Amino acid sequence: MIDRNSVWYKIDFIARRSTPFFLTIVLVIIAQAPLKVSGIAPVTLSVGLISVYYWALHRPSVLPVTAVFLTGLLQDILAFTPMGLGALSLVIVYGVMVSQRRLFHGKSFVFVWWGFAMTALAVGIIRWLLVSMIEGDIVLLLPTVIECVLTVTLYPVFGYVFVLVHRSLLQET
Amino acid sequence: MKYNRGSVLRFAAPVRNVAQRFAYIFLLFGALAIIVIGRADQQIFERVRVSVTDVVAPILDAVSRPVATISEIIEEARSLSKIREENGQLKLENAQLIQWQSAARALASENEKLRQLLGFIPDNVAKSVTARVIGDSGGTFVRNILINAGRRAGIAKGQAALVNFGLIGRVHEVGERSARVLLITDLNSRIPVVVESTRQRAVLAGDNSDRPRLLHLPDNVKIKKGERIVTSGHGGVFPPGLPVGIVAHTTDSAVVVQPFVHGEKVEFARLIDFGLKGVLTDLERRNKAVAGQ
Repeated sequence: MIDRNSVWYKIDFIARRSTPFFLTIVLVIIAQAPLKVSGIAPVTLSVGLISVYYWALHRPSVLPVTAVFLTGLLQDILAFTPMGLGALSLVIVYGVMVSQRRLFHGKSFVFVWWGFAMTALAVGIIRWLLVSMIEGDIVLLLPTVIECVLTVTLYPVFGYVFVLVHRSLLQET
Repeated sequence: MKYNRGSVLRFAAPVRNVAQRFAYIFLLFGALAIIVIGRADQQIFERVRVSVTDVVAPILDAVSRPVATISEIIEEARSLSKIREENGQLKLENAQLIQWQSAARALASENEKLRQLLGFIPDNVAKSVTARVIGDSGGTFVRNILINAGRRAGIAKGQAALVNFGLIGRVHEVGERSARVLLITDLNSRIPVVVESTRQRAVLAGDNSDRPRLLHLPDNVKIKKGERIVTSGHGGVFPPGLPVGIVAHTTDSAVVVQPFVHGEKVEFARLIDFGLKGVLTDLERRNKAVAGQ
């Protein structure tokens, strides 16, 4: 019998619930580490986008909008993109996905993946337009396309990690 | 105490929904406001950025080591297959370099004698710090790298970042133990350069691609493929003569430069303090004066 009022239970509960957020933060930081293999162009990966998409769709309560906002800001700070850009795009994605949860309910993984591809594409285009506006000049589109393709390709890998975390959350609640 | 969960939820859920919706809209507009403010004043978030980067720097430092090791192993395996071919090339290059070395020695001694004759005052001796690259921006919208040395190691804004004597960029933001180097390929990078052989002045402007372009060239000037581009020293940020790259190709509208070093592929960078205070400090002083009023 679990005593739901015990201190340990509460600590465990809070730790489990905040795991998705901390995991996201750690992934965003690690994604900044330089990967230098000659012949492969420097590429970046929107780990934040994958995480926000996954949790907004499957369990928004463990990744509240404030956490999404902070993830976006951290991403902007570390990647040196214009401040607020990552925060804005992630908060928009979060809002859209939470409101569209029913559409994805009980659908196959391929459908969810397809949804992610569409989301990443939309976010890429919006970010590219915003940066072009901020810089007052049309910036190169190709890096955005590469980032988008790479993020969509690697979605299943990170998605699998999140599924494992998700399962461990479900065990207790 | 026992209470009816259902009735509490019936009241709590809508209240929570309204609160969440309010938080959502608040943060949405917050993000927009940050973008607008950041656009209006580029320096305003600098302190936040620098301190957060400083906190994260040790983590990135630790992470970058195994990542670098793995990259090295892959690199090693690749180069192993090319070793014979490379050896031949290197022998040839070495023979050429020995010739250059003797030429350089002769010129250095001649230079020394001429300086003595003229009573020439040499430039300040440059101090340099070598730092590990612990992060890169990936290059989607910006091109810069993060290094694990900051103010404590003597890094200051405007210092040149070099690798094997090829210029890769300049220090843009400095924290206590980390600093950000704006690469010459970044959209916002503008560096006064000259074509080494003709002394034609130009500005090397990044556009986020791997190859920056030359701007402000007069119409009638023809620049050949393969010409060396070096810093001109104008603006007083860099000393003249730092190697930047060679002209990769020229079209009617643009002269494209291939940098000697690919800034995002380096593992270590050398930060050099040439003791030049140039335009960057002037600009900052003016900003401070404006802020102080």
